[in-house]
Amino acid sequence: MKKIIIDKNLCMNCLNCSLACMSKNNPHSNNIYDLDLSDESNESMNHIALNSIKSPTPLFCRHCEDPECVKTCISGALTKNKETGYVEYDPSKCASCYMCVLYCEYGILKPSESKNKGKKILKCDMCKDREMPECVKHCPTGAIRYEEVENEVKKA
Amino acid sequence: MKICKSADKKLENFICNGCSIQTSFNRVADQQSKCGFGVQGVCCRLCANGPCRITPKAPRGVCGADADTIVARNFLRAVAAGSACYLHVVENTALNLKEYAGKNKKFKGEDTLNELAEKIGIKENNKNLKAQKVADAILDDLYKRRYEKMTVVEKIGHKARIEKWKELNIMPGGAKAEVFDALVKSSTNLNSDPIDMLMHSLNLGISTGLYGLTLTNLLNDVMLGEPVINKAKVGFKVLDEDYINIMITGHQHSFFTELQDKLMLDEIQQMAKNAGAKGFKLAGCTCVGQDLQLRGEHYKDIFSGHAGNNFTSEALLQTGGIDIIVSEFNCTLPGLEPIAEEMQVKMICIDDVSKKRTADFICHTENSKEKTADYILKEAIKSYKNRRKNIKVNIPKDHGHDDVIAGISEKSLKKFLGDNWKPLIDLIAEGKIKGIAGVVGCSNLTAKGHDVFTVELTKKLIKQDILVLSAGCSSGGLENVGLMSPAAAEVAGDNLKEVCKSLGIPPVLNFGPCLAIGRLEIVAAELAKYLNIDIPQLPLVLSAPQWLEEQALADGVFGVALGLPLHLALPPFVTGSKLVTKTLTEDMKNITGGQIIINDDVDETAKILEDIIVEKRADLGLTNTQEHSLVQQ
Amino acid sequence: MKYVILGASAAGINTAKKLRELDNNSDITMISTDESVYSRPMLHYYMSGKRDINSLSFINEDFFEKYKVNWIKSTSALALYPDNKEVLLSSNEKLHYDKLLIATGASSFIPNIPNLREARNVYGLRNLDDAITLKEKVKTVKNITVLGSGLVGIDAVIGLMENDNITINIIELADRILPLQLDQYAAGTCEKKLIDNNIKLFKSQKAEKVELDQNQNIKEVHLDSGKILPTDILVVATGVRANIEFLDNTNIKLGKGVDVNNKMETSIPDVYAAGDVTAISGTWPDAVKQAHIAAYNMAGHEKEMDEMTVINNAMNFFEMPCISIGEVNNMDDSCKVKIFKEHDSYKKFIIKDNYICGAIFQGDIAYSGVFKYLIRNQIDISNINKELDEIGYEDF
Repeated sequence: MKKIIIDKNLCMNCLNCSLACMSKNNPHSNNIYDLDLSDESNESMNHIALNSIKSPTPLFCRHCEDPECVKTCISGALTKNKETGYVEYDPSKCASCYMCVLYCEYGILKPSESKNKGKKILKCDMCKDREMPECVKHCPTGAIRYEEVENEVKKA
Repeated sequence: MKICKSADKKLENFICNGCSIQTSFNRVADQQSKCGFGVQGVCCRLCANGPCRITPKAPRGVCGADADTIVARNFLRAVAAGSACYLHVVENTALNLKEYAGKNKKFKGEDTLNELAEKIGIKENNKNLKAQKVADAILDDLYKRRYEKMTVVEKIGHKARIEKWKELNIMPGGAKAEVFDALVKSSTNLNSDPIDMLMHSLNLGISTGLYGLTLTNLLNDVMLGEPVINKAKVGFKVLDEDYINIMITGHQHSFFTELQDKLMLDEIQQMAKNAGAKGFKLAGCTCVGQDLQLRGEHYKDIFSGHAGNNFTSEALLQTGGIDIIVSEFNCTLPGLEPIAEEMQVKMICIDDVSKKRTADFICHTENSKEKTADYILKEAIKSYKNRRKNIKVNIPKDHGHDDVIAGISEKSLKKFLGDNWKPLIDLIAEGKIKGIAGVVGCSNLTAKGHDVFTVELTKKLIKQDILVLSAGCSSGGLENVGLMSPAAAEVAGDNLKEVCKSLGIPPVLNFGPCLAIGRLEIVAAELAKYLNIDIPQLPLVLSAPQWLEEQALADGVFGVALGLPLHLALPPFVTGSKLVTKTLTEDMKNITGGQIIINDDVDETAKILEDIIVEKRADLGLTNTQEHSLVQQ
Repeated sequence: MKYVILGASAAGINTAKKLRELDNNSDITMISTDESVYSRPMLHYYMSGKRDINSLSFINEDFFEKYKVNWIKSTSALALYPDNKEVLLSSNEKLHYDKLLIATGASSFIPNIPNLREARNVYGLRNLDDAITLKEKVKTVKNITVLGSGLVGIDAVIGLMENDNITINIIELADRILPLQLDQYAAGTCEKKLIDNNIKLFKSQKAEKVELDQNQNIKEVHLDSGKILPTDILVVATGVRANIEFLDNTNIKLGKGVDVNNKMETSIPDVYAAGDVTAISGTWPDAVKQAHIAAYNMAGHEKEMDEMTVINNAMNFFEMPCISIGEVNNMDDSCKVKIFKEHDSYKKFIIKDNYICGAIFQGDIAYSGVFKYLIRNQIDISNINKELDEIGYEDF
């Protein structure tokens, strides 16, 4: 399976990954260059945070091997796809209980703040219908890469 | 190495197989991922609280500036810089004219001098004094204070436009002062009014267009000769390895007046022969090469032809056939430096605005033009002798064309039509020519590839019987793919094809360098004057599909100030502001009559431009008789 | 191998799923009193009409097929015979097991208030039947009294309050609602939302007795403050008791629930327990985690609960997300409190020595999972040169 590999030392905090994610999740946007930056319904599944020495750190869903968010989901909205290894999210099932937010110890998940998204969770889907995740495609430095990793399910 | 596409397949092939040193074509891939904030114009680096970027969650910078203010500031700064570039060119050209006039030499374009003097209102019988007074009138305007309006504007501008500009309060004061205050205005915590800043851009556009472009052309014509329609050789094939080849890059043709005159002398050519070559040749590349081509009729023996536009220069250097590069302005790519080193090509700069790291600098204000010319020739010989024994020359002789129709200007075209615009207007009225599109400006590597958008769009337009006029690197691209040769008539729509064949012209007319966009605009103004209408009423559209730089934006806003629709394939870093984008693309129609059209799809663009032409024809009462119209499909 | 699972809620279903992942061949049989699989924390969505019964499910329709689980529904376990390794079902059938999981959950506890246990119109909110009944009843009544304002009590209020022309009273012994999860301030924010919705709140008050009518229905609830609340329906939300009656005939070790070790083994060999029946935690995530551990051990893979349990919960009442982790109220003098208040957000951290031992997030709960990690593992945060509320995974 392929995963997003992060080398935070290469991150320049340009936020292109976040714009790419917003654009991909916005039906009216074709690319990051036509994204409406004043539209609060544009939200990114990834974020970049500065650590205490002000070094930018890209924080992306890891699609964990044994995902806490899936285990704690009360509605069945979050599931682990054994074939792709991706943690999938079906907002139509989600009960907005936010157990997953509490249990994601990597601090990736949060509720949408957009008024029209019904307080669902912002969850990376790995752009699974595309050749590669848009965030990776738009990273100018190689800080986030999309690479084949050993099949973790078999490994376990 | 990965390379970006070119409309010019032979060039692409040469870069792939004949170029071992990296060029811009190779670097595109690694720069593919652009910063979205930069592209949308919402990154502000004006103060230490920044850079601030506008996002849905952060709609204002630290200072409180919103996307509209940030975008407008960035846009005004870009236009001001572009305007400054062209004003630098006209300033030097006027200074060069003054100097030239002091030498009591022959003016190759004395008619232009007389016409210009008459327009400006200079009464002087001595031609040298007349030239100096013309130059002074222009320089005086450039140096006026901001609140003093420039005087030449009213004398050379289209009357109806002048009225409009006065109504909009965008008549420019001293051009340099206007640029200066644009920088002030757009600095930290100063102007925050997007509309005021956009109006200031239009003001800068007017001085850019009338002085930077139009007057530069005319002053050059005075010194270097008026364009004469001729058949020209273009492409890499123009290089002859038997000669000492001097490649010049930039936009300031008048810097080479003395060099060209010297090269015409037998004793100078003999120096090259003594060094083992057949002589010296000037090889055209970038816009100044197009200038040489435009006036090629006056320098037949010393000009080998125009090889290509800005982004072909790195490849041209790798043919090994160039012995020295003399540059005076952009587009002199930094990428030339390592190639010149590797190919042992001497680099000289004669204007420090384009000083290259690896070039010798000969200051034009401290050295006479003669002395500079002598230095260039001496270094050219030295370089030729040193390098030719080490460097293999590999010129793709199959690249280019022998029959490009060059030397087209507002004057030579009118003369060609029988000293009258009527034949052209009749063809438009009859629908043989549906309208005119100026496909102009730069070449870039990102709007589908090198010249790809330009060439594809041009093909679509001529197919719809729209006559295309081109000036700038766009024409460098269009001529190298054959669209400026008479045989290109076959690619045009039936009506345009018929016109071209009967006149022996191609469907895409080559006006030369980007400065000559000013000439297109003279044509537009003359047509409007002939018809007694305002410029926006003409069935005329502009596209700078592959605009590259700030200069192009300054050019572009002149088009908008003229009231013309201007298409750009790539947005000018404004889409982050709804207000700025809407003002430029929609509201401007009610301000100047012009508009910017941003579209990166060739088919859609061709349709939009054709629709505008059709609409303007209808407004003029012209019917559309052609059945193969895109609009009707 | 034959696995038998008693219960088809969080623990039962997740044990079955994990067992099948670990063991593709053995029989798995699941017995449930419920006739459908549904998520208990979502019952209020049914009452308020936001979801139908089908969409209360937390598994896909093909679950039993896909995981090859033989599900016997609407059936209860009546007794366990460990010596024969058999369970007696309400169908009178005796079912053999090799490994058994008890995940029978818990039932609403009805407190010992005079007349309450005799009253007819008293309901819990525990099972789908409760929700169905309440949804029906509310249409015909005026006054509803909810006893207890813990998670279930508030769920019940939210499920009922959108009905017109009813009065809802909440009686809470503590000085605030959600006393186990929230502090005074955070609870106050939620209380305001309740009051804004015309809910009547009786805090620091106790129901002393209920008055019944001739049909044994409650008509009034009398508070120790002297207040009398006219009541047509009473909802009890004062805790649960593990469903362990069917184990009476065994000598299985019991506490408040079925006692288990950290492998989820009970005192009887080959009998495991997980979820509310263990009375360990009562949250969904803990039930699932216990289920996974039980499944591993039932399938012969030794595995232990590996985390220090921290009380925590996520809530989303009135579109006001709340997260509560660890110790949020009872703290000794050695603890320091740090509060960050903004317009719509409240964050409170309780710090002991160099680590955080409790936190409340209200309004803005983004990325708060990191704090669960910090609290659970007692991570030293003294070297992080940041305000507490700005700490994120980037710092580790």
